[in-house]
Amino acid sequence: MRNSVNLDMVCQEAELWCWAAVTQAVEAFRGRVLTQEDVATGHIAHSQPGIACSANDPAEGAARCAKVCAGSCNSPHILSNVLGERGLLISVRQVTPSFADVTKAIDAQKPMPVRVRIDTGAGGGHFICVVGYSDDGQGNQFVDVLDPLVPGVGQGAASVRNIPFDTFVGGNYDVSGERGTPNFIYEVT
Amino acid sequence: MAITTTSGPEDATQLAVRGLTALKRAQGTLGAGESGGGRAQAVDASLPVYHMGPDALTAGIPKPATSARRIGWRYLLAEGQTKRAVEVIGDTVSSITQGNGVRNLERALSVASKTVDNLRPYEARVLVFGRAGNSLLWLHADAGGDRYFSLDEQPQEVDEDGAMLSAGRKTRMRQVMKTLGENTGVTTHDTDESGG
Repeated sequence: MRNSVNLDMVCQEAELWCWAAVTQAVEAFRGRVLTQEDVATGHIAHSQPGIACSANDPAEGAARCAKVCAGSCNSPHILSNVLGERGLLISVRQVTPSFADVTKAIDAQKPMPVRVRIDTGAGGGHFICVVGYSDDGQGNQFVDVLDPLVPGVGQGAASVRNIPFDTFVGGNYDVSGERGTPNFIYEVT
Repeated sequence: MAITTTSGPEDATQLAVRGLTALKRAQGTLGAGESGGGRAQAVDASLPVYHMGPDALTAGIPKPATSARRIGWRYLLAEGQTKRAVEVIGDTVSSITQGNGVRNLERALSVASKTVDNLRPYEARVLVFGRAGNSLLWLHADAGGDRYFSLDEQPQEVDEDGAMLSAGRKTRMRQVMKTLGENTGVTTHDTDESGG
């Protein structure tokens, strides 16, 4: 059995904008075309009224404020807050997804955003989106993932990655040599 | 030929081919004659994948030739017009991709082959930095003079020191964010829901 949702993603346009890229993709799936700058501005303006985010905002603090200080647009954020503000979130669960979680979402024709906890390197988190699955019933199970860092920052359309499910949930999700484990999943409208 | 792509180790190559066969089984697209799991796909190229971790990237201006660690192999497998990249990290198939990433690597190899001279042999490698920067095509020569090319739609040669400095800055920035989060109690590694 095999199923997918017809969702396209644009790679993140700033170093720390995986949350903006995933939100942009979910919005587009719902028929609303936005830029990642729109998404970032919309979220960050809640705490910094009047801010206008640019994908060129450097992440490094010294470089950022050596120019006209653009605020803190290029920074990590909490995806459930961003999705919730836009009316896109039904629920968030802190869990490593089961294959049944994946099939349930995809069969309902919903993408499944996921937070990956990075277990190596600098740690932190990274947001991706599950958009499909395949399973032959004989132990060959894969998930189809759009990762806003694949192929890379500012590189246009994200490539679909087919990931063996046991790799995906077994602490071996690869982000350019860093490894991680999915630890939050999001049900979207 | 100035640029060579080495053959991946047999066990990793077999793993890559079996991984693609498993995907096709799962998708129900396995063709006749492939059911034995043999090599129905041609291996166009196999490139070792090297990783620069935070320790290396934050130690001055590191040299990949001495600081990068090989973590796996990226195989380009062709089947008719379809090309896929199968990445084997350690002893697992980490991903199978089509699309931009595959085309970008092919473009970079093409641009690099027209750019470098034929006087010294280069081994083509993929250099990755985690989330500290986009991956690069790395042409390594035992005699020194390594060269680097961006892996994007319009590949360009990249300066080694510049790439290392940039990745080092981004690594330090992430480390500061992590420390700030932990010190202020805003984030913890397991329950924090932020990402970037």
